[in-house]
Order: sequence, then C-alpha cells, then structure tokens
Amino acid sequence: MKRVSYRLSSYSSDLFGVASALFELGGLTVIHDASGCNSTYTTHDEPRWYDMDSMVYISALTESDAVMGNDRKLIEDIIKTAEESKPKFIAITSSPLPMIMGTDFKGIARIIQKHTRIETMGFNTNGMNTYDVGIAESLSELALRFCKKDAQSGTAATAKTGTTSDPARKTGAKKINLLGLTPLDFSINGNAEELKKYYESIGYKVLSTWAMGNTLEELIYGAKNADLNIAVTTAGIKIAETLKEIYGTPYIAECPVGKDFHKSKTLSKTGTRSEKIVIIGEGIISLGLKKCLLNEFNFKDVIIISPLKLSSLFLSKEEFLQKNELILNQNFFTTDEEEDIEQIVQNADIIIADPLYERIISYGKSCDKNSTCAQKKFIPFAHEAYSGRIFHKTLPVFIAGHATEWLKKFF
Amino acid sequence: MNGIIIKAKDLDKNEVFSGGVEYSSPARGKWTIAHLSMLIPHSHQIYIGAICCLRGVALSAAEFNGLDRYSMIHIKDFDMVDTSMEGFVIDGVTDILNHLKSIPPCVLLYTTCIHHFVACDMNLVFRTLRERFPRVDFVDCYMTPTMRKKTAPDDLMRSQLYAALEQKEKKPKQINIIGNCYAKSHDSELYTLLEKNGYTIKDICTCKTYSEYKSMAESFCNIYMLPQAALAAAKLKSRLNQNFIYLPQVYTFDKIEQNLTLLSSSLNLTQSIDTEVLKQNTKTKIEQTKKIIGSTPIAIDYTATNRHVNLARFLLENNFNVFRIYTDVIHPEENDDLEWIKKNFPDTEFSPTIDYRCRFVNSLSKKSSDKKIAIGQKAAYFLNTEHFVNLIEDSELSGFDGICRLCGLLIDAYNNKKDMRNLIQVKAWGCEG
Repeated sequence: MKRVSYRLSSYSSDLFGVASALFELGGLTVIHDASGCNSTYTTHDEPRWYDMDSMVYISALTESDAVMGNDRKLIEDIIKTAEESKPKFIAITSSPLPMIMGTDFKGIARIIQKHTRIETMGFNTNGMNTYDVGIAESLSELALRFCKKDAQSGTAATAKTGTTSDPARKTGAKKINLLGLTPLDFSINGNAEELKKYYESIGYKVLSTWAMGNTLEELIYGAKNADLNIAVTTAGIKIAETLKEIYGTPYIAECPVGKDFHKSKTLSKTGTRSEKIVIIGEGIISLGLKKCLLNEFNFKDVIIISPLKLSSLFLSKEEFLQKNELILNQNFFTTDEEEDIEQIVQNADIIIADPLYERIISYGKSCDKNSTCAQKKFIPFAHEAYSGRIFHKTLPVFIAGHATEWLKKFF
Repeated sequence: MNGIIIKAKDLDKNEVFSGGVEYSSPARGKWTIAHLSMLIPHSHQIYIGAICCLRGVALSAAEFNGLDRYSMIHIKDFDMVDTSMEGFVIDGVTDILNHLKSIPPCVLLYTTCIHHFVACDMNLVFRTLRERFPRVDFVDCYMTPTMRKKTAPDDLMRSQLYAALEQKEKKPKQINIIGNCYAKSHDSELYTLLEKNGYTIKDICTCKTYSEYKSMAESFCNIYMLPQAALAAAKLKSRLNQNFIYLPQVYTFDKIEQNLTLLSSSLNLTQSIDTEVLKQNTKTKIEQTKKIIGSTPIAIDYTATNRHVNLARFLLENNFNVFRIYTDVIHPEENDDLEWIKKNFPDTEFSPTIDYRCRFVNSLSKKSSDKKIAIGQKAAYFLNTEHFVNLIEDSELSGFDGICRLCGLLIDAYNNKKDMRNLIQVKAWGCEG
C-alpha cells in the first residue's frame, strides 16, 4: 500500500533541511513546533551540533496558541532572542501543525524584520517534504535576500555567458561555487573538503561552498564573483537558478564520483558485467556513482532510485533530460514508496544504499534463507539524511578517486 | 551561563527557565515514547504522521535494534483536506499487519497532533481494527507534544503501557511496580520487605512474554515511584480496581523511612526489616565515598532523578560539594527540600537546560581542567566532564540500597572517565528491541 512503511525508515524533512543549510552562517533558526523536532534534528540530523555554536531552537508551540492562532508569543520570543544574540539573519520554519493552522510565516517574518531590522525569512515548510526541499528553499531565499541586494547596489559582475551542459570547460571558466552541500548528503567525514580539493586539482578556484565551510560573507562574495556554479545535489539546482537570475552565472549539475569522472565525457558502452545494480540515494550523487560503475567497473545495467522530492523536479527539466545520457535510458526512478522500491530491487543482483535499506531484502515474509532476497549483494552506503548518525562511522568518502577505492572493496 | 544561573536564595518560584525559544542539548538521557512502549513484550508500534515526526522515532527504533517492531504510515499535506483519514489509517494498519512475519499480540497505534486537530475519528479506527484482528490488543497511543500542557506525552505513554491489561481475578499476594523504565534492584529493601511478607512482584521491565505482562492484571495493588506514573495508577484503579501506593524515589533517610512505613501500613505487613542496620551500613558507605571524592564539585540534572533537589539535599547533608542543579522546573513535591537548601546552602546554583543561552554554555571542544562529577547526562554535557554517573530516572536505585549503589557509581565516576560524547547521544540506555 502506498505511504506505508512496515520495515523502512524515513528521510530527514524539509524543516531540518533549512536548519542544516543555514547552520554555519551565523543566523537564528526557529522551528515553530511544540517539541520533538528539535530533538530529532539535534540527535540524528546534525553532526555539527557538538562542535559549532549555531542557534537552532523551537518555539514550544502550545495547544491553546495553536487553537487560538496566537502568533504573538512566537514573534515576541524571536524578537527578544534576536535582540540579545544579534544574529546575521533570522529563519522561521514550520512543523506540520502550524501548516494546518495556516500560520502566515512570511507575514510573521516581515513583522520581526521590521522590529529587529535583521533580515528575516519565513519558510512554509510542513515536515512532510524531504530535506532537499528545505535546503533548496533556504539557500535560494538567502541568495535573494543577500546577493540580490548586493547585485542591485551596482557592484555585481556583469552577466556571464555559457551553456548549462558543460560550460566550465567550454568557456574556460575558473572560479566556481559548489551548491547544495550539507552534512545530510556529505556528512562531516571529509567529503566536502575533498570535493573542493578535487575541483581545485582540475584547475578551478572554488570561491564558496553553499553551505559548508564558509561564512555568509564568503558565500555572497563567491556568488558575485564566480564564472560557474556547480549544483552537487538536486537541492543545489534551485540555488544555481537563483544565482543565474541574479548574476547571470551559468551552472551545471554534477557530483564527481570516481577517479575518471571528468576523464570521459561519454559513457562506456562496452560494459560486460551483467549483474543488475540498483542505487538508492540522492539523485546527483547517485548519477556520479552510476557513471563510476559503468566506466570504471565495467557494469552495464545500473538503475537509480531517488526517493527525494526534488529528484522528480530535476528529471522534469528538459535541459537535464536531453543532455544527460545517464538518465536517458529510463533507469532513474523517483519514488519514495516502500512497495515501489521493493518491486524495483526485486530484479537487482546488487543494491547500493543506506544500511537501513538492507531490511527491504532481509526482513519480510518473502525473505527467508532460500529466497532470492538472500542471493542479493548489499553494499552499505550510509546516508546521513536517511539513517542519521547511526552508521556515521561507516560512511565512506565518495568524492572522485575515493569512490573508486571504496568500490574496489566490493568488486 | 551569564544571566541564566540562579542561586537558591534568589529563586522565588519553582521555574528556573523563564520562557522563550527553547534549546535542545545533545544529551538525551530519558526514555521517549518509542522506548517505553518496547517494554510490552512482543508488541508492535505503528506511527501515523509527517516524516519530521516519524523520523525521530524510526531512528530511535533503529538505534536499539527495534525496527522489526516498528512501522509507520506517512501523512501528506493533502490528507489535511481529505475526509478519508480514518479509512486510510485502517487500511494502512491492516496492510502492515498482513505484511509482518507474524501478527503481534499487541499493537500500539500512535496518532500525532494533526489527527486531533483534524478531528480524525479514532474510535471508528480502533473499532474496525479490533473487528478485523480480534486476537490483537490495539492500544491508542499519542505522539502529541502540542497538547503537553493538558497531559504530558510521557504521563500518557506510561498510562497506555498498561492499557492492554484486562480485568482478572486478583491474587492477594501479587503486587506490581509500575511506571519505571528500569527494574529496581532485587537487593533493595522494597523487594526484601515484600518478599519477606510473601509477595510476588511484577514489573513490566522484567516481563519476558506477553502473557507474563498480561498477568500484571492479577495483582491487587500497584506501587509507583514517579509522578509521571500517577495517571497510570489512577487509570488502573478505575479500570481494574487495583489499589495504588505512591512511594516516591527519594534519597534522604527520613523520606526513605517514610516510604517503608507507608508500605508496611498500607499492606498490613507483619514482617519488618531492620532499618537501623540498613542506615548504619549506608552511613558507612557514604563515609567511604566522601573520603575518596572529598570536595570535588558535583552537579545533578533532572534526567538523573525526578527528585534532583532531594538528592542534592541528601548529598549536601552528608558534606558532599553539590554546587549546581540543572533543571527547568522544580516539582512542588520538592518544595521542602528546596527550602532546606535555600536556608542551609543558599549559594547552590540552579541552571535551566532549555534556555536559548544554554547553547553557548558548552561545546565539547571547550574542555574544563578542573575535575567535576556530574550525576546525569545533561549535567555531564554542560560541565563538559567525562567523570559522570550515567543515571537515568534513578535507574535501578531504590531506598538505602540505592544510596549504597549510588556511592559506588560516584566513586567509579571519580576514578574513571567515560566516553561522554558517545554515551550521551544515545537515547534511553538499556532499551533493547
């Protein structure tokens, strides 16, 4: 049955995506929620919680305030906290109940901004969408608030030229930003640093990474001065589009997985390994992994399942569909339904996914020792946005050659 | 902690946290609803809600290897304007149960705040499910933090833990201990006294089978030790006609003796135990502990024990150097202990744990050079100390025996370091799927 999970977990949600994306930028993020959301985010979704003093709080919504539609406490508490802590910006997100109540987050943000004179953003998250939506919305809004103002002040670079397929190499662009990075997809085990290092090793200068490892000011500088933006996750695409709108900066979407990622522009058509592989994970990272498996490990049949909300939007974009032969052959599914995923993995020989997905082949009425489930090979690829911190220590560095080395352990 | 620490002498009400946006420290400590419900042997939990609500419980279940006993139904935004929520829940639960390897004897069905705001008819849901699965005990459970001011989710969960018990003939010599997440030590005087008088003691924490759990209905009386189990006791009294005795988990000698006296008089116990010997042994243990620990500063937090002020008083009375208590609110039951501290140790500090400024008190990169002992995970985090007692809701401690055990834990904490970062982030130590 659709929307039923009898053995799997669930992905991090949009409001945690907002908190994660803005975490390092010196803002104040308040989740309008009773209780629980703060605990889930800080316990499972935010590995930086122990070592960085970022301000993420809940409003402690009560039943009476919800029934009466009383926003006053929320507004007053945020103003008080902001006046004392002087954040660079304020972000307010919604949990499911305020969404039902029809809380006007944009209006509340305007009131708070007027009072505090601090840039304040209200996000209509609902706790029902996946985290990528929150990352995309928050960083795009951040760009609109801070970069657009900067561009309108007349100091912006003039519009760049280029295409969206592979402009970096065609235009000789050197300065780039990497967009859509959070620990939810890249953890804090070195992937973000390796990504930056990799692009610098192939001749680019990375101005900023949205949003790990840089300050808000560095993001604004990077946005203004880059020749190219690279969305390394589907969440990064909306940010890239916003920056293109503001500065005219072209963008591409890719995540370099495998040592030969940029060496071969086309896909190997000579794969001889017949085992069918299913990858479950974030869309653009999974596409990188697929390219690595096809070109470096001689596989010929690799399917991707991306259960994230923005994956389907990504697929709906003509420019990606036409230019990306990795998804041309209809082997990219965007379902988050347990029964659909079960159906797709039924024909797989090898599954690469977060360890919690192993239950789809190890737990169930049809999964005994003699079933086909037992014949499948499962390669654990921990994903913080799915299993939180549980498999944190087993998460590999998967950027460029690191992925090749990691996959060699299994093939 | 500028501005948020209040000295005992300056506390003019029972609230240490004065309101505002709330912080959540990485130290978890207590059991959540997802952990507590695992205490019912062979039960299965089904949660219905948005992914932001489901994720925390799903990962808690995964963490204690409980995913085989956990399922969920995802609510989407369009469900809010759809009128078929009841049918969706009924079909979802049916689908889940039909997919499980075997039908569990008990299903805990959790609704979230949104069901109650859209007036989902859960009576219809449960009636239909009971018709479809007559051999399953369906228990209504609640993940409804928005309604916490009316009934705390924790209290509600502890009461629903016993909702599957059905009226049975009572055994006059069988008694339950209810509401705890850890079984009390069998060496405690509570066990000794009851067993000496021929009582069999049942506790959900030690039930291995579902039928053993169901046999708790045969007990004529329930003992509870935590205020958050009062609702459970009242409901069992009303539903199963089980009497109850409240024996709060306390640490000062006089209150421990009051508990034993109350237990004896309530049950008309004929056999007694020699409390003077127990007290003497306990005093000796305290002295030994004091010699080792000396004046090392000690802090206590509310997750270690509900009666943190009473524990602080006990330690202060025995010349330990308790300098701070981490709590957001002080239970009225602790008022006399609070007054005692105000009078005798007026500089004892009280610190909130959810004030937004607590975010900046400590991060694990800021190490303290002075040795401090924390009792409880939150105190350990805020003090950034590896010398701590990993006590959660009093754990197995009870009475004089509990004090002796606590002394051992304090000595261990003084002598040995713990991996604080890794210990504190795991919710509900000891919970197993």
